[in-house]
Amino acid sequence: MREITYVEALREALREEMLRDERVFLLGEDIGPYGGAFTVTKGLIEEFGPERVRDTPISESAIVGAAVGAAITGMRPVAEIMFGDLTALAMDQICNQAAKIHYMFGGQASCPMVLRTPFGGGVNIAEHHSQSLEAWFVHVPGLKVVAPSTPYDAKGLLKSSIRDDNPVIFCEHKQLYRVKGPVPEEEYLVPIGSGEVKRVGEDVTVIATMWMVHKALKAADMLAEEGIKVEVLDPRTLNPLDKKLIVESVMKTNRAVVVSEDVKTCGITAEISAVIVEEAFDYLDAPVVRIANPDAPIPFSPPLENYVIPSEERIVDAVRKIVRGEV
Amino acid sequence: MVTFVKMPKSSLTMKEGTILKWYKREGEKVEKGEPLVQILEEKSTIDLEATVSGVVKKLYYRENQDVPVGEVIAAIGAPEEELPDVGKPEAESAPTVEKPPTLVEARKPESTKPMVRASPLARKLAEEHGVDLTLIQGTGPGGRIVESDVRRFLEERPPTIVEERRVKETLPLTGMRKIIAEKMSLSRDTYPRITLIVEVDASEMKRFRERLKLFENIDVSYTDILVKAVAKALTKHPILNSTLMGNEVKIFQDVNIGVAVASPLGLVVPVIHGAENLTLTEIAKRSQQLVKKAKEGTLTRQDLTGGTFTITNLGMYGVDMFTPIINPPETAILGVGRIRETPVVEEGRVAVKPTMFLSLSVDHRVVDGAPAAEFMQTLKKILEGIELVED
Repeated sequence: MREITYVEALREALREEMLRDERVFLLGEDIGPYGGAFTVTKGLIEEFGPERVRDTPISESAIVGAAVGAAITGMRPVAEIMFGDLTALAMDQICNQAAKIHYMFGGQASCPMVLRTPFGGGVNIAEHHSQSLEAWFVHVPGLKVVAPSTPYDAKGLLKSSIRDDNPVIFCEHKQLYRVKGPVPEEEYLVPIGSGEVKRVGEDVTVIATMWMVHKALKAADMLAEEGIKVEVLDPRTLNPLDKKLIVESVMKTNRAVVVSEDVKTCGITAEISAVIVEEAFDYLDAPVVRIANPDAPIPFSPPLENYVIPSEERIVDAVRKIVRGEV
Repeated sequence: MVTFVKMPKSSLTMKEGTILKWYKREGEKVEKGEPLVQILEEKSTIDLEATVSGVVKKLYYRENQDVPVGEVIAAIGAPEEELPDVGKPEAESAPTVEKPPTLVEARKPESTKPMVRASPLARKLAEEHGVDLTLIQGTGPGGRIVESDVRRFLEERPPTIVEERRVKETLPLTGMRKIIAEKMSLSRDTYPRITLIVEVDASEMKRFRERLKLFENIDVSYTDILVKAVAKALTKHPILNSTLMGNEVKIFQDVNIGVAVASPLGLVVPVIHGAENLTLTEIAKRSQQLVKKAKEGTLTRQDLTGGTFTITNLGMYGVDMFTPIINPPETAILGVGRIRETPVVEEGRVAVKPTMFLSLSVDHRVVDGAPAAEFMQTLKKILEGIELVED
């Protein structure tokens, strides 16, 4: 199968959905002739014109507000916020408007919009451009939150998100944009709410999201040399979470390590751990171990940034301990 | 990592053990498998072996002290390791006086039951196998019992419980016994059962049976009369002639009455098919054939299947009354007790009459108490009246 990058996969998804449904249009900062800060929308304005690929002023609240209005009135907007950190400026539109409209109008209105935005660190762009804020959106009922880790999942999930009648927060990752992976040329979808076993194992389940999926897979390779068989799970969607997949895997391995790049307190790892304890308690032979960012802003200093973001070594160390019965 | 050694429990009734002799002193090295302590259980002494190698960090009790089962008695760890503060009692360090400590004196005034540290999976596994966690030495962090500890314990556990009661003979649960066991368990476990007991005046039955014998030279048993009466009552109360299948109660067209018979192989229930259309003499003839076949063990599949209601009579064994278990998939069963002379009060006067108890067990999912009671009223009326003669 051909291999393309995560960015190319996203671009293909946007293009295919725009060809398929004329209600689909894009809006965001510098997504037109410039092609977007991470080149996701490159070339689309040439193909679809400025009506459907709309450059906006630098106002995140206006971008999301316009998308919400367009969605309610029958369009299927895909808004891009250049950095996930900047969604903070649009929080009222996202959480109080987009998420609630369907409920507040008794189901008579819906808000079929997608908000694409990159999270994550590792590129030394400091506190305001490196956060992983997925959990904020998971906490708001009415939003779906998608977080693909591979080009295949990114394309399939973006297409599903555009076709979904609910507002979807589509979390991308700066470290994953250049990652290449197999993507079929024929059309396919990845359903929202379905996780995937990225590697089969039996000694311990490592549940990881986004960039951490890749780190967990590398850690699993290293651990395999020691004879430790790690099962790596990628939830792919953070809300709704594929609880069944997680619980069934933990029932098999009896041990769980949860890895996410966001902060530990009230983060993604907290929610997944709670699900495991609630629904697979009797199958646990050790406490659930969490690996996440310490509760601190991402530092600008590269060594410090490397220190706070979970590493392969931390995953390897945690898995060794849990398998050896040291936690 | 420090491993705590606990007072073992080696029998179901053991509550505490006495430390007779420490083989190792604090600070001394110990190898896995080496005897650590000699313990007096209820009637015997055992040597408890160390499950790990290391240095004896602490002995929590002196010799001759009684220690409740599950209590930590020693700690083994690496030489340099700090002993975590787990609030364990200090062994009394007061010098012993000339008088050796008696058991009563050495007993600790209060022994709170220790919280057993075990993983959820270990607890579940232990519960499934009926294992007492206080018997298991945990190897997880801080002595937590983990899955592998329980599995090891299960593998090494000697089958003591059965051996304590001497077995004279072992009967395999096979064939008929097994089928009965399975069927009865199924009934008990899935049928919410109520049993209604009614006393019946058997005077008419008795007279009727004697007349039949005297005038027509026909032998009918009380069971035969009951089969006939029940068949008749069931045509008036068909809900009892039914079965619950999924979400549907199927009421049967035919009244096929099974009669429980003790055979050499165990309980069998041959069926009198279409009992509602048979005369009493036909029933008697059929039932005699079936009983004969049952005793000979020649009942066919046809004879044993298709029942819609069962009668079980223990009267001939002198049983007054009992609560029968429904024969699945049927809805009801009638238990019959012995006929005996009873003082009966009628209109303020005591009369002596033959009476018997009938007990009806029904599946409460299908039938409530009231309709079941109505069936019993009808049955009582039939048996106490002379409606039987009509045949």
